[in-house]
Amino acid sequence: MPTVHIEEAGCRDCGLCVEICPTDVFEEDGPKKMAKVVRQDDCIGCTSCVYLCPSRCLSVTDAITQRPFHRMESNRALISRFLQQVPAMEQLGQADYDEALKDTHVRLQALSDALKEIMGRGQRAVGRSAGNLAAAHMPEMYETTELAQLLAGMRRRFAHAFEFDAQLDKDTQSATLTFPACAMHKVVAAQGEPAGSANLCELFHEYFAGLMSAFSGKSYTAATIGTVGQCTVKFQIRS
Amino acid sequence: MASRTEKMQDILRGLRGASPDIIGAAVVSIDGFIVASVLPSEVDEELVSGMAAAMLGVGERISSELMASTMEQVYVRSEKGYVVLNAVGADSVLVVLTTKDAKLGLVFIEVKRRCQELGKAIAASA
Repeated sequence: MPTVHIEEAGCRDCGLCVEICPTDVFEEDGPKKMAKVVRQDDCIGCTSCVYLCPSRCLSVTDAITQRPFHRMESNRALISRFLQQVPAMEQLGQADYDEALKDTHVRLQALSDALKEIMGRGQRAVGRSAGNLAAAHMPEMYETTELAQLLAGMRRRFAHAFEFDAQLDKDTQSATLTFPACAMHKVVAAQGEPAGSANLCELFHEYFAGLMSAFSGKSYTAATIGTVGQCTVKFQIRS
Repeated sequence: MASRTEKMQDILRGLRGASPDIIGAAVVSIDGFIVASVLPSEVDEELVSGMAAAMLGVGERISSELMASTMEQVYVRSEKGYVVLNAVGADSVLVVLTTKDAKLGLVFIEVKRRCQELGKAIAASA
């Protein structure tokens, strides 16, 4: 379980950790407004606070930064450590995983269908906004705006969920990404929808464009250009 | 020759200048991008564009599901003022922010007129 430590002597009361923490682990304490850990159990180990702290007086121990759920078989040890339920994990069989996965698929599908049903074409903007909001919790991604480095960083960041190959056009600063083993493929395939053009996929592509826009400071649009077997999406700067 | 964005920017400036109660205006695409804007500096353009596109989507759904028709306008009233969204063509929306003292009838007339001009500017550049 992630544990947050603050070296009090180094804290300069900037409040950045209080502001960035997605689960409100910190609060400002006393007249000096020094950061204090008040909800230790809520820490999810994202380490945004560690990255942002200008005094380098924050540390998070026992945080697993990569959670490779889609490589379940080869990473049982990591998963059991993350879930803290080793005995139960050992008792689980493939049927249990399949059932849990199916449950997740249904929920994701229902969520994206509800968004489409209510928001219609407006759901694309919702996907983009989600990307913009999520970007704030990945501060390390703002270190570069150079497209190749940015995509390399995103590849590392999302290695636990999907992989992608990238073809860059330096003149237009556009990128064509191919997602051969995206976790979403299984989700939409289970519902009998084509990968890439399914509603959930479109939402995710907009989310990814939102992330790229936030990290690069440019407005990227997403256009799905290939969906056979794998998803190919072109991200280009909006003219 | 003025670019499309400059032309739209001019139209929005004209709209804002039409009444002191009009605080700002923007044209937003259905994807949630700002096409042109004359918004006050304290307004977060990203947020406005995202919300406007989402609202356009919801407005379209309500119009088509409940009224079997296309959406023309959505407006939101609060204690501090109004936000009026008016469709411009098929893929964008004009967002207008006003104070609570704005005379809505006049704002609507002005919005209608400017939407026609914006629609022509968009069509001309397509």
